[in-house]
Amino acid sequence: MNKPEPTALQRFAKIFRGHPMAIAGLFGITFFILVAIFAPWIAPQNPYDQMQLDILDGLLPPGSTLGTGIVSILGTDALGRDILSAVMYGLRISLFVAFVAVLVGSGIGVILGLLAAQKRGWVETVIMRAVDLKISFPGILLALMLLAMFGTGVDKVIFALIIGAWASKARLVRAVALSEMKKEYIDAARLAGLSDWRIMTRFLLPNSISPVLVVLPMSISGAIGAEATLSFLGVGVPITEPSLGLLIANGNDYLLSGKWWISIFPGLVLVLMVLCINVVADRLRDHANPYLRGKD
Amino acid sequence: MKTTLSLLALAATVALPSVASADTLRMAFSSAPRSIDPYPFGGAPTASLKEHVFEALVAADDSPLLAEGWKWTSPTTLEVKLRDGIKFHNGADLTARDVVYSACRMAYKVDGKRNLLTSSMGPIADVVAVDDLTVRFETKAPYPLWVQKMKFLSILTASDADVPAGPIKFDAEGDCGIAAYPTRSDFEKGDAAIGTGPFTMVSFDKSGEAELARFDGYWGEKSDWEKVEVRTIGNAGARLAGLFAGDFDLIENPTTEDLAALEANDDYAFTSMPSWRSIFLVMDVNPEGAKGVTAEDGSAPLANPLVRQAMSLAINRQAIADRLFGGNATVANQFSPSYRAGAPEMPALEYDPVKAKELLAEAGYPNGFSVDFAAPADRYANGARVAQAVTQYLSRVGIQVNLKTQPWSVFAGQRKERELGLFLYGWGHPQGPAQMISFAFASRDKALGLGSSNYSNYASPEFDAAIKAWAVETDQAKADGYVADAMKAVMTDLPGIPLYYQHSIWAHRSDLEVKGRQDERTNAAMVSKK
Repeated sequence: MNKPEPTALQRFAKIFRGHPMAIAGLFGITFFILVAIFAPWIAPQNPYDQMQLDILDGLLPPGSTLGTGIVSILGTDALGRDILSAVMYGLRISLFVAFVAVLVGSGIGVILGLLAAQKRGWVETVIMRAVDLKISFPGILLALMLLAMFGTGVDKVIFALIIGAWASKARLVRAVALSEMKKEYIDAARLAGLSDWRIMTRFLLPNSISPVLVVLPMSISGAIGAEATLSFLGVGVPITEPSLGLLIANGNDYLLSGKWWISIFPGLVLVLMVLCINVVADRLRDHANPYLRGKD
Repeated sequence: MKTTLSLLALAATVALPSVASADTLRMAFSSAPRSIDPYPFGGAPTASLKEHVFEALVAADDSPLLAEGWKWTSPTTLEVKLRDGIKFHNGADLTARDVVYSACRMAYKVDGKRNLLTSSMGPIADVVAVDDLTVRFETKAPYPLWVQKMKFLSILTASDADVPAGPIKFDAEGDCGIAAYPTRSDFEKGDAAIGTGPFTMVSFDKSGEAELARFDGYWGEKSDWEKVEVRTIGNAGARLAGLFAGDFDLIENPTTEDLAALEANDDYAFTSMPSWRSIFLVMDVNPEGAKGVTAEDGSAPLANPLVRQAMSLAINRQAIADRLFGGNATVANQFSPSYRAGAPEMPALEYDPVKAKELLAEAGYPNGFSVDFAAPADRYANGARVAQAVTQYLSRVGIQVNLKTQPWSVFAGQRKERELGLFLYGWGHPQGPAQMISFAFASRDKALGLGSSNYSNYASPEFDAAIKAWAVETDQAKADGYVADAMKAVMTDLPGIPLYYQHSIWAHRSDLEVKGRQDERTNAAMVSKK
């Protein structure tokens, strides 16, 4: 304890030092997030504003000039959407949906996992059997079913993905929290007369959450893929506000007729973004794994 | 690179269409026929398959087929003369008794359910075999439409062992003193699938597969094809790939996006035919307001005819036909295709967004209003894209459109519950313009079968009077006049907005000659060798 505690930033930097792929991934993620946030200011066109679209501008190859005077660098789709703008906005939806769904879903999972570990008894039985039930069911099928029941839309997709995200986190957190519960500091806290809620939030949560933080990026890339799949299948986001998956689906119809740009560009962005998140997630996981840590 | 190219060339040679037999026609349907039993089901795929085996007194275009001619001897009596010398697949001669038997089977409940097509029998009270080649239809009320509806009465043979000898007495329940009709599975196994059509049935499977063989005793023009194989491939891409791989000689409904790929390839061609399917918008014109439609002042914008005219003026139909269909759609000027028999002459519908804005302002909506627009995503060719194009056009004149595309099953349920204020719909009515608008826009009248699909809540005394006069008019010229009156009324009031008429497209080997049909049906008889 003689050395000064490294700051959070220093610890974070240490994880990535000497791992150029992971650093590139980190830059990639930052870039995509920035593009998503600032899309309304930097995109040449607002592809969700029906007034700015014209089917007479439809299916133009990359580099064409639209009726509104905009030069479409990546071409347009059948309805006259500029693909570059549509990808920027689509990125926004894809990232938003994935982040919200995974954060909320994981939050619910963590709370349920902690409750199960702390309360034991019937509370644990109910929660863990629900987890088993959820995990035994193919995720994408469950999401399809929910969307068929509730209809489509961004909010419903987020809801369906939340339902998909919580269970594995609950199981993970419960396992860690169970072993924490046996430690002396919890007994000490109990003897000090702290409430269950306080013990859970002040002691159990901070000591059990790190494995969840490690799998979080992987969950996010999974959710991006899931959202793209649902939208590709036509049950995801509204057709007038396409996400990356829906853009790919739209272009899919035109691949045989040589209008490749409609789905290739959104596809590339989707692949790149998921790749970036995954290399970063891989690095975080390796770092958290005590067997691999010595090799750092 | 060179190796890759030669490998590709090699692959191409290996994959050249392996022609199974020069006399076999292999067709891929886009959706599966439900049965070979001609009565329980409607729908183009079922009708397509059935027409190979069974024929009716009247052809799809209302011309005589098994009938030689007919005459209304009184407003409630129709006498039909049958063609002489027609043979069933089992060698039996076609007689009036077969027609009575078929009418009985049509009225009979298959699997305990009323047949979908039975409703077309309407007020038919009796069917009598006057002599071997004369049938008399007697109706409870004047029913001039029966002449067109006879196309649904597929003629079966009464030479089945279970049919007692002697005359058959028709009754509306379809009992007719017949101990047991052949069941649906008897038809599907082939035992009962005996008609007068150009092909005999060899096998049928519910997955949408069927095999047919040429009937050499057919009375009409004989087909080029000894054998016909039907498969069903729901996915358009897979269907086209099957054509390119040589698995099929002809496929239904390639997507309009794929036509460029077909044009670029000398081995394949496509045939496009304006069809009877008309695509239009339906609006709930209820003066108390419509679901999902809101105006700032709380009024009901869609109830105002000026607003509906403005919406019609706002849409560039030509751009939709050219851009989204590559020209394979015809711009609409009335609800039923203008090129159909019985469709009145109507002026073209203008595209004038400036005037549309003026009309909206005049109607009291200078800032537009907000409307939910529902469209089925998986029902009509390019349906989702058309809905988006319409959304663009309506947005541009200031209407805030919230487009909701849904799977057909969800959409159809909401439509049935009348939860849709504005929706995209398509209708390919086999019986002509008057039938279509009478179902869609007449005030509800269960007894006369009018307005069963009037989701617009449109009620116009003028329109209703014309439709009611038409429904009982046996004189064709007068009937056409009533249809014209009705169409004019509905095109002035616009409880819906016609958009375009869909074309049916078949992709096929370029050495085949295909005569496209307007009723979206696919039949081996329309395909010949060049």
